[in-house]
Amino acid sequence: MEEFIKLLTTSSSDDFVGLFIKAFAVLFAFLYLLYAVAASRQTQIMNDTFTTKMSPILSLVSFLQIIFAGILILVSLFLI
Amino acid sequence: MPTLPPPSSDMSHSYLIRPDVHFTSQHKDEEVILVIRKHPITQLAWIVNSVVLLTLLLLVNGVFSQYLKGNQLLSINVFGLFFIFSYIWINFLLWYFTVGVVTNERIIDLDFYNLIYKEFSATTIRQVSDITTKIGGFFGSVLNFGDVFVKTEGFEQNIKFDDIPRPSEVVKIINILMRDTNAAGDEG
Repeated sequence: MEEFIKLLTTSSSDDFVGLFIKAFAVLFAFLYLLYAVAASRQTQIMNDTFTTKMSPILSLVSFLQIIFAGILILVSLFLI
Repeated sequence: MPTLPPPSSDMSHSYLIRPDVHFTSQHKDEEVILVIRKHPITQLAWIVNSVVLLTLLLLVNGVFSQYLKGNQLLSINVFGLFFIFSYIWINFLLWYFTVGVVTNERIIDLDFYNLIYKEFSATTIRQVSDITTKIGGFFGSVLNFGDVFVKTEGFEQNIKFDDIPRPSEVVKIINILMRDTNAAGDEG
């Protein structure tokens, strides 16, 4: 196992691992954005269907995920 | 003669009497008497899964910390945590909004099976013909939770509340409402 990890992370394969992680990060970030938008919209529908005192908090947390998804995309594109 | 209990809620928010909630299609004079969710113990599977995922993330940190660059490890942690949080959030929302509502007029079952599919079934108290409870299994007996099945007359919608806490008390409350509704109907 250790040798396999070393093989992947030696200087010759550094770029490969970095590229893999970056590609994964970009893909995941965009998928997370899709999820966050769907979750936020659905939370709104759920709140409209059944309204409680917690509704504003739930909407806020769901909306914050969209902002976090945007930050994740920027991070994955420029910082990784 | 038994009467409806005063407003109260339990710690897990799965059995609420006369809570301050509103739902879609609520009538003007309709009062919410009872809101029930699945017993928290039935949510143990995704809670355990989340803990296992967090532990796996920690293990990944331990194993790969010496082989990966700082920013690569950080990104794995950030994305891992976001993934786990989204898993927890979806499951929490599904539990929170899948409710049974008993009002002074109707019994409503609101089911969210996933983020994009919901089911809303309702029947009037007057149409209820039979109520059955089922408490089974070790946890059900010890923690007092089970199913309540509300049968209605004719071809109307039957309603089933799964794994709800205090099923016997739910039946008692519905019986009181049925008695009051029938009494009001007789007087009218």
